Amino acid sequence: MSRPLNWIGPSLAIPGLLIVAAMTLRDAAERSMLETGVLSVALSVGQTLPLAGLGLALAVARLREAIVDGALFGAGLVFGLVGREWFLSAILSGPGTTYRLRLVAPLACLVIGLVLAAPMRLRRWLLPFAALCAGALLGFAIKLNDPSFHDPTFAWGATGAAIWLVSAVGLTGRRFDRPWLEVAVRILGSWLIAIGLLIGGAALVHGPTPDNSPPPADVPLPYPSTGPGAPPLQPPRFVP
Amino acid sequence: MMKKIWPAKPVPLRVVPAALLAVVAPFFVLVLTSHPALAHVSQGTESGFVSGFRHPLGGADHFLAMFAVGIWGAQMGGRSILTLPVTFPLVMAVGGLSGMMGIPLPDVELGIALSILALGAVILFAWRPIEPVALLLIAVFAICHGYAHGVELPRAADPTEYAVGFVVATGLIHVLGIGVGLVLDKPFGGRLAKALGGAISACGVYFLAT
Repeated sequence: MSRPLNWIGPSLAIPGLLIVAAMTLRDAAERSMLETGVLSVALSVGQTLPLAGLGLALAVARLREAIVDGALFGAGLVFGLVGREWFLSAILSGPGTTYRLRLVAPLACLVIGLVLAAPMRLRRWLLPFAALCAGALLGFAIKLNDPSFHDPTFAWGATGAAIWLVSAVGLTGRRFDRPWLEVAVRILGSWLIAIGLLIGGAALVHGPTPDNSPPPADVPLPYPSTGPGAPPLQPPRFVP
Repeated sequence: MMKKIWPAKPVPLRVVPAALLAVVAPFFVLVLTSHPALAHVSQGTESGFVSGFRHPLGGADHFLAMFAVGIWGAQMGGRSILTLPVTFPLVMAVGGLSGMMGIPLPDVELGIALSILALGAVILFAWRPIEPVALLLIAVFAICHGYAHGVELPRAADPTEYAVGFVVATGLIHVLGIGVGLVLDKPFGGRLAKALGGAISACGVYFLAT
């Protein structure tokens, strides 16, 4: 990579980190929806890890492929933001399935982790699909976490933070065109898979438990409480 | 032409100490500021990232086993520098899932103590089996360690951050072990690394006895 371009990544990363730090130090009640959106991504471990992992995967990919995969991530992001209702109906397809909403972050970690841990020759085929999935899952998570009523600035802030994180990590990583980066990427991929499995397992453990209550007793009542055979209702007698 | 995954020549000794210091310093800060606790005995509610990060560090048995995995990988060299630290967290996660789901696993503490004894012994004797055998051995021990972590995970106030904390700590302990293993493997024909393996094995005997 040429010398001027070497500094694009750090130029994005360092000011961005300072801005996030400044937002974090502000009192929560004084933050705007835009800042809340930015911090909802930047301070969420379940979202920053897959995004940083995707950035690393783009850093070690060939430049043209990285651009295409980055565009696919953006497309997935838009789909996730726009298709919130479709996602919700797909995930919450029955009673007692709200715990599945907690599987969004683990799925993103697993998808990106598998791509990072894969050998280089396999990774170039998996990365487009993973970028699209990660973008869609993130977009859905952003809409899910939106506390506002149709205020678009939360989504803008969160989307901007996501794109910043992927770009900053990806462009900074491209400076280090070293063989050891490939080793580090595969090790980090295994970490992401382990984290995804563990937090997904924790979400499933807290999922709905099967109904183990005993069946109702098959003992007839002495008389029906209502209906034709019921005794007439009488006011209780007051006993001093 | 495919890039080589690791350097063809050994890492220069003058580079490794600086890198090790950068990796080791945060550990010492955390270990010195944390209160002592057995790694797989949890009292009370675990909370976020810092608790998860401290969990492998605060327990000598977890720390020694994962440290030994890194040293053994460096001692074996070649692909094992990569495959051992990649495999251990993955299998550990499977053990963690088993712990979370309440699948009974007998004698987990015995398995953890044996892992320290065995991993120290393989370093002491510089055992270099074929890669599948080495991976199978560490997989068995990773199940035990992961199970101990997984039992506590659902009780964490923030399971996500807790899981991230102890997976990252586990990985960093591996990296530390690899760094130490690379440094100690060359001087005196690798006797320093073997002596460290012997010390780790002796700690394993202590954990078995207590």
